[in-house]
Amino acid sequence: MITLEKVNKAFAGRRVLVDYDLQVNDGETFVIIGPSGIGKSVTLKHIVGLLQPDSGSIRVDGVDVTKASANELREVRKKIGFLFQGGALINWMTVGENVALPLRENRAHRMKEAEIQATCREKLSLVNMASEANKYPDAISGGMRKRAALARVLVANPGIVLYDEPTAGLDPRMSSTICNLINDVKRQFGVTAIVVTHDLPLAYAVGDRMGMMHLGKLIEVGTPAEVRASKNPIVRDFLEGRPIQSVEEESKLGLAP
Amino acid sequence: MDILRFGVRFISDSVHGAGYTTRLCFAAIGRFHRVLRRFKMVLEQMYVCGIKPLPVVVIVGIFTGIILAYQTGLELDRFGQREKIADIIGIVLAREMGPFITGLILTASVGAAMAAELGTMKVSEEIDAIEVMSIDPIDLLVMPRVLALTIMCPLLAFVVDIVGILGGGFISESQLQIPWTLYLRQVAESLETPAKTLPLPKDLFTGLLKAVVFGLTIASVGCSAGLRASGGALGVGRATRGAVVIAFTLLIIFGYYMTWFFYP
Repeated sequence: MITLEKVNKAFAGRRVLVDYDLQVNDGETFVIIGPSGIGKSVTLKHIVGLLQPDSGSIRVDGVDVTKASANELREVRKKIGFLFQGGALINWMTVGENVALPLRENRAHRMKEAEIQATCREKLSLVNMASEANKYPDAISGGMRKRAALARVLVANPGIVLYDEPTAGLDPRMSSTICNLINDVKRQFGVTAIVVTHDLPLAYAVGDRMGMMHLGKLIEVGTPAEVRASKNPIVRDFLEGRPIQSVEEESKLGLAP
Repeated sequence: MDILRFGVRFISDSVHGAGYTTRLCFAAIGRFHRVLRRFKMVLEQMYVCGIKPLPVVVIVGIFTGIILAYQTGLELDRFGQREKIADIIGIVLAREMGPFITGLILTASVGAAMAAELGTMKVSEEIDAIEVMSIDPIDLLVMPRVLALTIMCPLLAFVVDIVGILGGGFISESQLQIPWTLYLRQVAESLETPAKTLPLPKDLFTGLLKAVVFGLTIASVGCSAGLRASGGALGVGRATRGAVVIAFTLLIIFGYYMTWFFYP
């Protein structure tokens, strides 16, 4: 279970998270929606300890990552897979080497090279990337990079997967592919997941529950059907894609610095 | 008020950067014992740090010796001391110019590349991804670079010493009419002072030790600047420039203090 309680975070005086509360239950897929630059990715980075909050607590399976020692944080991170927006594949390693990296580096897995190769092949096949294992990240498309990164996430069998804008910059068909993969991963491995996105079809398709971020908080939380039926004007504006009229309005929405 | 704020921020950033770089340097040294686990990567970095810059190092080394011999030789000739040229070339190259020239070349090529490479990894979230996978980025990325440059810098400095001496010999022979055999014998004699505990001439030993410190410094500064990069391509450019400027400055300062220590 992932719990955030009264989390606050400001960057250069700009408050990005304000008394932020979130609870994600085991096996649940929670989708955070909201406009770009509102602090959705910042939320994910707090959960894995890449960012420290100014105040508040963040618990992952009972461990407060804000107070965890380096060893405790390492143990927590072993349970979490993080799919970064651009994939974050290491450029000087092939796709296969990238996927094998967590298994080769973490002694906890204690796998022989043949087992590592077999596991990597299995995960790359899952994302339909087995034939690209020997290519470098520069030589494959954005969608392939994301799928390879997902294989790297899954290879360590994480109990929790955090998806940061998994369909950003992808065409509709590739977005659907990623969407199906997220559902497949949930079905096959029963992972707890948080998906950060502003892609509404994806949010409706993968979310058990979803919440909309506005001015550092989740202002509307519920099932996709409940959120779609929300009467909150800010939620309605976002769901219906009403254009922002002025810089003042952008500032009011917390999007301008 | 803006100037004051800028000054405070500059000092604060500098102190923070110096602290981070020092910690990173010691953290990398503390992981040297894992060299066997990272053997392939250390070898790759040794190739990048030591073999790739070799042509530049050789050319610059030869011309350093030539220029040194030419300029010094002309002045010595005015005082009728032209035969002293071999002593001066040998001592100056071994003590100071060999490691310093090598340091400058490696700062501009390898140190800058390290900052740019790690900086790009940082801004494209690759370093974050490594951390989230519970992998130690210092062990994976910094230690092999620091170890490789610490080994290769003195070897390249030795190459600069040799080719610089040969370059000086060429000028001595062609311009100052000092025969090669006499020149080389005098260079060898000038470097005869033994170090207390090593079977190396003291001047050569101190020069190579300087190069070890320079290698450690260049790699630590380059990696530190890269790992602290932020703000996209602009941030990577800033990190690369910062790494070169800081490493140059530290090379001069460390070079002075080591000379002061060994030749009080």
